Amino acid sequence: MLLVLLAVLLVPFYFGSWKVAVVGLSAQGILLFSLAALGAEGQAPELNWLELVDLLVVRGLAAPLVLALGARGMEALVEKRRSPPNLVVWTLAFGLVLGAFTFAPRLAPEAGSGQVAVAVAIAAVMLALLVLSTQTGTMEQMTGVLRLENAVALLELGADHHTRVAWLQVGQLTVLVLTLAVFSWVLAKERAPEPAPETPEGPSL
Amino acid sequence: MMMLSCLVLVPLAVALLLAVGALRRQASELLVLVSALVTAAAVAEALSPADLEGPLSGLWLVDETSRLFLLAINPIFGGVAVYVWHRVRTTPGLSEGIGRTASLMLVFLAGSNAVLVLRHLIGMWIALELTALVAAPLIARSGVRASERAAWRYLMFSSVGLGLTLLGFLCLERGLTLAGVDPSLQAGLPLPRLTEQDAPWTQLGLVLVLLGLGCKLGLAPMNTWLPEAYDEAPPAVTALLGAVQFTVALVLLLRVVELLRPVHPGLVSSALLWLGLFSMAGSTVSIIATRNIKRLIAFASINHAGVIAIGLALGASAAYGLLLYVLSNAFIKAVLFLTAGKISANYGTKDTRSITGLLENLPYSGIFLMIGTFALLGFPPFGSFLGELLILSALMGSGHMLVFGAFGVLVTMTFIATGRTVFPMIWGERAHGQKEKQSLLLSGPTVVFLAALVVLGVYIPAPVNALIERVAVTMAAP
Repeated sequence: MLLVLLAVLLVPFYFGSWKVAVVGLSAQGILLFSLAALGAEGQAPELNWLELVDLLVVRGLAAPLVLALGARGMEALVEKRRSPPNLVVWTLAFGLVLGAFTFAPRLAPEAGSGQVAVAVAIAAVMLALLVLSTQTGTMEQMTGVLRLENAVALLELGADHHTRVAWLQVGQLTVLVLTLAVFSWVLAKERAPEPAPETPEGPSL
Repeated sequence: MMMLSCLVLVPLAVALLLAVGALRRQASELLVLVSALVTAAAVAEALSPADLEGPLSGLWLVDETSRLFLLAINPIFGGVAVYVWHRVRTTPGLSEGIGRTASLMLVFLAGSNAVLVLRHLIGMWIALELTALVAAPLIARSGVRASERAAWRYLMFSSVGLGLTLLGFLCLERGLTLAGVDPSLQAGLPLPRLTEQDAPWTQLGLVLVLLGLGCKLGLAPMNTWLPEAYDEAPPAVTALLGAVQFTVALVLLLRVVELLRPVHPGLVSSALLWLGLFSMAGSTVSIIATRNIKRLIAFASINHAGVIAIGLALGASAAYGLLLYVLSNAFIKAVLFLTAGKISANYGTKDTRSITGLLENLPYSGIFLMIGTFALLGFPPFGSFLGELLILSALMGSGHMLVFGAFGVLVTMTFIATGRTVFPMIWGERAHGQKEKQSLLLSGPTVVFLAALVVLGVYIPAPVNALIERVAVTMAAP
């Protein structure tokens, strides 16, 4: 399943559509939920309802929905602003994944699924930073930020996170939900018609 | 417990009331009232003798560091609240959205105080994220595209910076778990030395946290958001970002460094030294190039962040000077950003070449800009002078002669570039702008901030000095 997740992380780099990036985000959330629900390395799953809400509802459904709804009416603009896929980006993406798998044994020396999980998490972080550094449109940059959030969740899944107190989990989930709310506000501002050039600026605090 | 409720829960409750539409007509008055109440609670907490022990003491940590910085950020927020109240009363059109603005500012205050009093580093991270999320809508001005773009860039860099910070905390937790140590990252809990096998996770975690929090503080390399956000935000919001949010983000960094310096002393020092030097070098070049008053102060903020990072790298020998510098930095930014807002509103431009004759047009603003600039440049008798001097002396004492040389050159270049731009604005011949009668009474917050700057450099009241010394000892602990 980790390798499927890696494929899901890479696919949007090979397609020039923002819709693929949004569907990819949804797939990441669902795969993260599946990883948490099935448990890693033969352990019994210890999924709690907070993780269900976080991974499946917020990351798998709400986040892509916020982006898709936010893009309503400006699909052409979003598409225009998206940097098209090219050989340089493909090479960089592939190189980053290779680098992640080379670096992972330094953190997790024992070969096995634990090492692969670390490698995929590092790759996810690096690919998120690649999106953020190569894309200039708001929508694309939002997918980059959410990719980074998912990479954090993936690393957290591999850790002994169940020891974390509930209020911290609730706090982290609240931050994610509020982030989506502010993203939605940013996209609404972007959808609003441009003010006339001669409109004078009002006073500010 | 009562005091802590005042610091966090009261602003949150009033913000909620304003958000649902109640009391919106009195929003600016409520903002002042709540900030006065919270400032009083912060002063009472700072003067209270012992650490709080109670049913929720596992959640809160009110130590010397919390007390000192509660004492710094709450009066600054109070001053900004008075400034906002005055602007709303005297400027037609500003009262329209004040309910929403006041509500967001109060959540910002609650989040900032929470960062200072929470015990768990991830709890502090959550509170800091909250301040960033409410600051983004505060940066955007209605109908001004440039400010909306700046708000998005601020939000994006904040999310990435804080995302990397959280990632760093997770790596630290993993490293500690592998080492068989309690992985819950709590301020004030000392960590043991780690073995070679456990070190990679904690080293990676430390680097990620330094990069992530460096982004929030405006340290190189991820600081391109800062000049744009500080320039486009309304002056009151810029003052909050530069003085309050910067300080609370720095407290989180102080907590991390306090925890990890004994574990990885070399890495902490070298990473902070390099981040500091690069930030100073980059900002000096930008100060030379810019002709925008708010951006100039923003680049100077990056420069100050660099000095602070270098001071933090030095540890015990620079601790007292560093604290003086950090406190002065908060007041300097509040003075300069509020003054720059007033000046650019009067002249209708932020171009430094078009702003001349300030002492004639806006005498108080001219004087505030002059004094604030002297403090910014580290002149006596301000706290920034003493702080910088102590950091420089610690640099020499620790044998970092190359860093000392580079520091000296960069500070001199910053001094010349800033003076070349700002002094003609103050003393140059009056060519643009309107002569405006200013009331000293209404400039009260700025005067108080300036007084605090002088106090920090000349005579620090004994209880505050004792508090600073105790925090310095905590920072110096092995």
